Amino acid sequence: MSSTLERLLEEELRLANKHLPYRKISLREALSRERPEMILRDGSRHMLDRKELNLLRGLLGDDRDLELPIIIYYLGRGVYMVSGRENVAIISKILGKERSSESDRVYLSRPEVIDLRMILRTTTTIVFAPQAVGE
Amino acid sequence: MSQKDLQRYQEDVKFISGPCEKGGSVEVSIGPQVRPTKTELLRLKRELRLATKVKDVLSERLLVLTNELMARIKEAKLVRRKLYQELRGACLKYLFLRSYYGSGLASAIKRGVVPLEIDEYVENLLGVKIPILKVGLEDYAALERVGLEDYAKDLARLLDSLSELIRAENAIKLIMAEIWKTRRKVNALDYVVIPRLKSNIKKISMKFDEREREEKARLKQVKAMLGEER
Repeated sequence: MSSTLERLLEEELRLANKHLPYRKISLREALSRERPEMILRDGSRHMLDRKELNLLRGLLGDDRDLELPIIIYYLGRGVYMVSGRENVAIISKILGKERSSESDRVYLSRPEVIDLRMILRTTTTIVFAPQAVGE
Repeated sequence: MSQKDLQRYQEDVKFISGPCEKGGSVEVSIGPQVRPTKTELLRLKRELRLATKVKDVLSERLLVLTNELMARIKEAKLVRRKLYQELRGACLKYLFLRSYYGSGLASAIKRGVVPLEIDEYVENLLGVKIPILKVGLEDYAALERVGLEDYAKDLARLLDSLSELIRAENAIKLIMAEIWKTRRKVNALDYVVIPRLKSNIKKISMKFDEREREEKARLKQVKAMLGEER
């Protein structure tokens, strides 16, 4: 039987990623909606900024699509990672990073994430990976 | 010190200094009593592992929230600079127009000839819910009709920047509050929960060691007595 302290601690771990959405939406779908909102795991709604959506559409071109929000994984010790070819292409363009055409992941440092979050405030989100943090 | 406190203190001293009976409990300096059993030791060790993990996660969350705060401060600075520039331009234009049209322009805006559009929604930044109120010009046809299209566009831009600044500064306040809350949790784990668990584990382990030593001494004594009998 778990104690109160254990239950409290487990709850804290569970709440660490409550800001993630239940379901990702595509950029095309978000742009077609009047109110580009999504429902998060804690039941709240999160609005995507239309300016950011237009910026992403401009960078990506009309023929390609993207799943939103772009997830930035926190790997611990100030290292962040974004995976997925389209995501990597967008992040590299925004931050002006050089990348090889085959790479499907990009590692980011703390100042880069600050710059990125300044530009893509609502269309990116940071995930805490406890297993990575605890290592 | 009241009589009640004195009595409690005496009981505590008696408990700590007195020998611990087998099957009794070990008193720690702060916190509840713990029974010196193997199950309790395993439970405490599991809790310690969990508490350390939560502390690590919360510390990392604190770092990420601080990053977010830095981003929002940087953004608020830029938006405020932009707002001041737009405000200067719009004010100059307004003064010029007022000198030309008289006070009719201001009263027309006050009467609601130029309706405002207000949108309310929530943004969730790393679990921090930020309520947003976006104000804009719903329809500025009335201003366009009298040839004030440029002024209407300036006003729309100004309101947009103002909404952005309110959002950014509100986000700073709410993220700060979340940082304080998280820091308190980290400190509670770091300075209270984890040391208390470690202390309890140490006390139970010491109690086990003591029992083992007692058992060894008893066995030696029995062996000696048996040797004497032979």
